[in-house]
Amino acid sequence: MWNEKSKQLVADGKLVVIGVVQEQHAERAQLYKQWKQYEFPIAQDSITGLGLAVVPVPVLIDEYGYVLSARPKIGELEKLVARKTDAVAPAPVLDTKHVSAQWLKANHSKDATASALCAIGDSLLREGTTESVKEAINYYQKSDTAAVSKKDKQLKGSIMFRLGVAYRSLFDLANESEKDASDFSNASEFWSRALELNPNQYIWRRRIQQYGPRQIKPYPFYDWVGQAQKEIVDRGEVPVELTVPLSGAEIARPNRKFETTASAESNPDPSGKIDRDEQGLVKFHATVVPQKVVPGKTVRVHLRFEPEASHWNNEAEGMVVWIDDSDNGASSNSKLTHANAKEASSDEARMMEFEFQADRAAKGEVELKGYALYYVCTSQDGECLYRRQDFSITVPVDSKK
Amino acid sequence: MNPVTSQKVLRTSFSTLVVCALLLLPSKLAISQDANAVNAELPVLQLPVLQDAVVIAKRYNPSKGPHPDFILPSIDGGDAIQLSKYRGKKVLLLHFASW
Repeated sequence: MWNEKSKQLVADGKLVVIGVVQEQHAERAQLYKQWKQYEFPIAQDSITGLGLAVVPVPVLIDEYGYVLSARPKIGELEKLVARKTDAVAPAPVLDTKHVSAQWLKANHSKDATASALCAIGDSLLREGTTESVKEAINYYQKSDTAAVSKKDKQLKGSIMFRLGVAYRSLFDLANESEKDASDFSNASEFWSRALELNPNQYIWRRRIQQYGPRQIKPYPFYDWVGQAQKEIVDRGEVPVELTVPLSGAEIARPNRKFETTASAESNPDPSGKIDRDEQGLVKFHATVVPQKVVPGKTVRVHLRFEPEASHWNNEAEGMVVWIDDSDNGASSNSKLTHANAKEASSDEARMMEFEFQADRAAKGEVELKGYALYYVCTSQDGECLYRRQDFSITVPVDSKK
Repeated sequence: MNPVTSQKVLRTSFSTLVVCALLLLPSKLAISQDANAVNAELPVLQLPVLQDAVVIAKRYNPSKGPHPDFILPSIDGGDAIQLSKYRGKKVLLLHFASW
């Protein structure tokens, strides 16, 4: 809409358009830009460093850097752009070097204020390497510790959100075989804490909703991706590659009513006869989003299974996960399945998701128990096995809400 | 906006400054010579100390005053995007998300 309205003004040299997206993954915004054929530059502000709490927000800025109109109406754009601007002293300009980690560390190494430490964290996060992101996390944690004054306390939510972004970045930056799934869990925890501190920050809320249960979703976040990729290919172009795959939560449709198919599914190993994976051939991790469950509400549970010194045997049936009935609520599914890769063997991480609704009377912690059944072959001697791994997921109950 | 008004606005509107890095910059560092060259006859402004002007998580609703300059990564991995590089033209800043 704004793109169409502004195109001619841009072509006439009367206006510049700059997009700013608050999303975690730049490449998804890049694919969107390609699909929509936007020609204007787009910046990424994944930490909401500009302080934006909602989107979309248009802001018209004059030739001197002053806000001419915040949230202008689309019909007013031409008139506002044509308006003559009185000459004034230009707005302050940020020196490029003053946002570099090197400069900030050199000039503020002894400045232990929450703001200084947070700024250094931001600069390191922007560098975007595994090492710099780890260092950014360290600075954000120091910033959180330093945020003790009444004024600093309003920073705390922002620091928590930044920590969530940094941990998720760390998770996405790592090679598949080196991913630490607890980084995603940490992201969920810090995003949840940020939102607790500032429940009116809707962009932070969106980040939880992106990975969270259907009950809290305003819309399916990335359901447009498939259509975009197809239309781009139909135009004869190569779509921007998404290196971070979409999770089920990110394309799931909203559903205010919690639905379960659990009672219709049958337990594949009710008496536990299948031998346990005592060698630890497959690593398991669960991330719960949001991190705590409110009585009567839902959370989305992301399961991740990775072969360790082993590989999946794809010449047998696919992987099955069973979720036991809970005394404190209900699961959306009891039985989850994961199809095998096409190759005879593979070592990809396998992800599955389900949702859990806590009873209204739930208190303390809820324990979700289940198990996985899989076919694996050991890397050392190629021995192929069918094994069961029992797991337990603890979900804290947020009784305050 | 006349210069007197603009100085007043500058003193009062930095509560909207939100990038952590901005909070650290002493006023002299925050204005480049290039920016002043746009209107060279005006005196150099005495800006307030930015360290005390932080409202990071506050709702962003600038209705007047200078828009905070920013330097953010481009989504396509190209050069970082700096708002003030576009001085001399009106800029429509579109905050949006693909979802």
